[in-house]
Formats: sequence, structure tokens, C-alpha cells
Amino acid sequence: MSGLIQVLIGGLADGGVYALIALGVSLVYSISRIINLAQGGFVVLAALLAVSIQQWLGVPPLVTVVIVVPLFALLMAVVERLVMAPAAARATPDRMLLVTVGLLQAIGGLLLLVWGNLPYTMQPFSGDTAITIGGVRIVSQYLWIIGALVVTVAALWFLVQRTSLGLTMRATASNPEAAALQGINVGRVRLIAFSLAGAMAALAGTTVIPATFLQFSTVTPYAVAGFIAAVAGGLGSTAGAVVGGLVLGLLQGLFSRYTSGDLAQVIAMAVLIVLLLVRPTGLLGKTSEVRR
Amino acid sequence: MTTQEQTTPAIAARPQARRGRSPQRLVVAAVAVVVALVLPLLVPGWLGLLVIAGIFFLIVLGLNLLMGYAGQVSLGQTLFMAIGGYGAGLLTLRWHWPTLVAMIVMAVVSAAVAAGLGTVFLRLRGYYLALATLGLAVITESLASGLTGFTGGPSGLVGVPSLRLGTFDVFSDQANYYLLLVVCGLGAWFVGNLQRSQTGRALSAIAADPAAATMLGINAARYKTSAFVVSAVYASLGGSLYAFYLRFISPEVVGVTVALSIVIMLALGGARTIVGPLLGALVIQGLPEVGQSFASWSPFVAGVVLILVITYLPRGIWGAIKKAVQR
Repeated sequence: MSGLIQVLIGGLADGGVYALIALGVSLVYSISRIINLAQGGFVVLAALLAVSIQQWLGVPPLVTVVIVVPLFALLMAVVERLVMAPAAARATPDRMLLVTVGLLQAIGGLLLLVWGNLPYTMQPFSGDTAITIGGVRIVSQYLWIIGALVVTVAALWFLVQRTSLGLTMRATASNPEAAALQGINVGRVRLIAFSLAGAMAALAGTTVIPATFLQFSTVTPYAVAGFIAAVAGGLGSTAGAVVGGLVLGLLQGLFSRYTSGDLAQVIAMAVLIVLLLVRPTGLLGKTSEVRR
Repeated sequence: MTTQEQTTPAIAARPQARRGRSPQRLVVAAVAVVVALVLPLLVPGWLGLLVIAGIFFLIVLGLNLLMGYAGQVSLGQTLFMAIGGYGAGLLTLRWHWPTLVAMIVMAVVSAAVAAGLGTVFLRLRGYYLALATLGLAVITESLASGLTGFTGGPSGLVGVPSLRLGTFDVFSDQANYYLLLVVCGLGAWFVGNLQRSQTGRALSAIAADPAAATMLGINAARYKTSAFVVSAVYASLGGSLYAFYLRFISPEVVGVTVALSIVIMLALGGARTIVGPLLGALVIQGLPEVGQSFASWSPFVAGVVLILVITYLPRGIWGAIKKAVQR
């Protein structure tokens, strides 16, 4: 029994990372109707950058979060202006998906160029400590991952529901044209949404790298997992992204206890495809989102 | 008002008719055939690349029908590549079936799988279809490396025989090249004819506006599923030929990255044409061959090129070339 709980906790930690990716995908989608498949790629990029920064500067791993998160908020704003905005002005939504596939490919290529094809990891934030509750060992880094998720969700909720910027974001999400007519600078709101997604990607990358090994080829699994979590939860829904991510992580963890990791992946995908066919709005999405 | 309604279809039909059998097009086609025939003698060192590009040309041609004409995004064509590749590999390796029979049987199996999946999956629209088919691609790669006893796991299936036609072994690069020339020629001819037929116009109508197409009496579900089945057969044949050529197949050959790169080839070259898929396959497969030092740059460059092409050349490289020539 404790073995099962152990596996589920590992799954939950993975799911926390998927949820962070899905939150970024979902936020960008709700403001701009762009599904950014490259979000998972930015996570790996942030993670490997954190490893290098940690090595160059010799700072404690936790400090890299403070450096990489603002850096990626800026980077994603640049990406929005250089890549997304010109493309979105010309391409249909279906083709925008291919633009983000190109972006994902470019990120993977960049990782291969700069970091080579070796896997990287980093020291955990609070050392190799672990908490043991009733025979279940919880690696301290898992708590950092879940903590990062909780902080992100709380901050996002506060921003969207309690600030005037959040109000303009909600207005843009529900109807961009009407928002523009009200005097909202829709382009600026989109820039902010991408920037926030960049910060989330960096937070996910820097907190997960001490708990795992990442390399250029891990961009695709992360991108796919984040994309699937966002859609399974319901695109545009914050709670949906979190639930989608955690459920995906738990499913993978649960099945990997009874079968190999590969077959666990198959079952998790099959469950999600069935979910999609039976309830295409996702777990917590609204029907109006799908009919668009 | 009535005259306008009558003239509009006439104008629309004219370029269609001109495209059919003009002398210039026949000359261009003849030159292309001659070049294709003598190419192995001109660039013998590039034959391996041309064979791989040919295989992907075939797969992308099939996807062109589904994505280009019917407007349905599929990121999961590797499923059918895997059925064709692993199926043919296993049948010939374990049960010593004749290679050609194995290839055809697996194409039929792929068609059946696509017909079954298509009726369910193609009800999904846009992003949701893309997501579900991406799920198929993930499942394909995971099954290929997970079913160790069956597929040989991550290290793959080794020792697949070459394709045997009668008493002739299609073993050398040159033999594979000419085989692919014939297969791709037939494949392109089929898609080209389909594009100009009533079916092609029905598919385009579905892509443009499914509701309007249904009102015109087009059974959208049936057409979309047929396009999916044909694309699956192309991918399956491509997968089988790939396995026979490499004499090997592994999860990497049918990975998610490959699934994405098939879509990239189509978008890059230009959908809704025959030359576009060929250009896309040549560019993506050719990039790593440009130079030793360039090989590590090629994934990055491919990504950047895709972004630029989608943003600035909506009809792909070939579409842009055609536009420039017509001007």
C-alpha cells in the first residue's frame, strides 16, 4: 500500500509540472486563441539554462529561479512580438498550431546546439532531504514543485479576479473585438499573457530539473503532456488546467506501477482520447469554447 | 444579377481546364521524368537521401489529401507508418511471408484501422482532432518501444529482408530509387487525378465550410473518412518501404518527432499541390546532409524555416514559386 502511495506521489509531482505547463497554454489560449505547443519546450530551455547559470555563478539552485523567471517573462514577450504577432496577423488558427510546432522544433534544435545531447540535472533546492510519513518517502523537491503550482494558481487568481489588469484580461478573453472597442489595448494584453506564460514555463523548468534529468529530446514529451492536460482539463479554464495536469500525472504514475512506463503512457493517452471523444469540452471547460 | 451568377463559375472553371493538358505542362512533365530517370547517374552520392525523401514524399502526398484538400489536421500519420513498417517486418521475419504480400496486407490492415478510427476521430474539429491524432502518435511510439517481445523494444526490429519483386531483390540504393520513382509516380498521379475530380472538389468544399458542403448534399463524414483511409494506405506503404530499405525499424523511425516532421514537410512545401510535398520532403530530409558541421544546426534551422514559411508564405515554398512565375 505504501508502495502505491509512493508511486502516486511521484505521479502527482509530474502532474504538478504538467499543470504548470497547461496553465501557460490555457492562459495564452484564452487571451489569443493560440495553442502554444512550444510551452513545454520553454520549460526544458529554462531548466537547462538554470543548470548552466547555477554552474557559472556557483549560486544555490533556488537563486536560479529568481534569475530565470524574469528572464523568461522577457523572452516570451520578445517571442510574442517577433514570432506570434506577425504570424497570428496572417495565419488561420490551424496554421498557428504549426507555427508553434516550428517554435518547438527550433527550441529543441537550440538545446541540441548549445547543450548537446546529454541529460542534465541540478542539486535540489533544499538539499537531498526527504520527509517520511508512515513509511512513505517524499522527496523535498516534490514539495517545491507543488508549492510552485499553488503559488502560481493563487497569483493568477488574484491577478485575474482582483486587479484592474485582470479585468481587462477577462474582457479580452471573452471578446477581443468588444474589448478593443472599450479602449483596451488588446495587443498589450496579449503581450502580458505571453509574458506570464513565459514566467510559468521558467518556474516549471527550474523546479522540476532537480527532480529529474532533461535534455533536448524531452521537449516533445513535455509539450505533448502540457497540451493534453490543457485540453483535457478544458481550454481556457485555470482549474481545468490544474486538474488536467494532475490527473495526467497520476494516471501515468498509477499505470507505470503495473506496466512499463511506455505502456502506462499508452493507457494514459487512451483514457484522454476517450475523454476527448465523450466530452470534447474537457473536464471543466465550457461548451461555447469548443463550438468557436 | 443572373449574368453575374452564370459567369462566375465559368471564370473559376477556366484555369482548371487550362491546368489539364496544356503543351507547356506536358513538356515540363516530360523534362521532370527524364531528370528523375538520369538523376542517379548525376548524383550517385545522394541516392540514399533521395530514397528517404521519396518515402516521405509518398507519406506526405497521402496527408496532403487529408490535410490539404479536406482540411483535417492529422499529427498521427506515424501510426500507419508503424503498422506498415512493423507489420511487414514481423510478417516477413517471423512467418517468412513474401515481402510484397506482407506490404499489401499491411496496407489493407491500415485502411481498416483508419476506417475504424476515422469514423470516431473525424467528428472532432480543429484543435481537438489535432490533439487526438497527436495522442495516436504518442501511443504509436510508446507501443513500439513498450511491446518489447513483439517489436524488439527500443533497439528495434533488426534483419528485415529487402523487398523482393519476383526474383529481383530491391536491395541497392539505385533499385530502391527506381522502385520509389514508380510508386511515387503512381501515388502522385492518383492524388492529381483525385484533385481534379468531383471527389477533390467535394473535399475542398468540406475544408472551406463543412455546413455548406453538407447542405449541397456532400456526405462530409464519408468523404473525410475516405481521405483518412487513403492517407493511411500511403503512410503504410511508405512505412513498409522504409523498413525494407533500412532492413530495420525502431521506435525512433515512427516517433512523435517524425509525426510532426511529416506535417512540417507538407506545410513547408505547400499543401494542395503535388510538387509541394516533394519539395518539403527534400528540404527537411536534405537539411542535415548540407554539411557535417551543419547537421547539428538542421533541427533549429528547420524550425525557423517552418515559422517563416507559415507566416509569410501561406501556400508554402512551391506556392510562392508558382506565384512568382505567374507574375
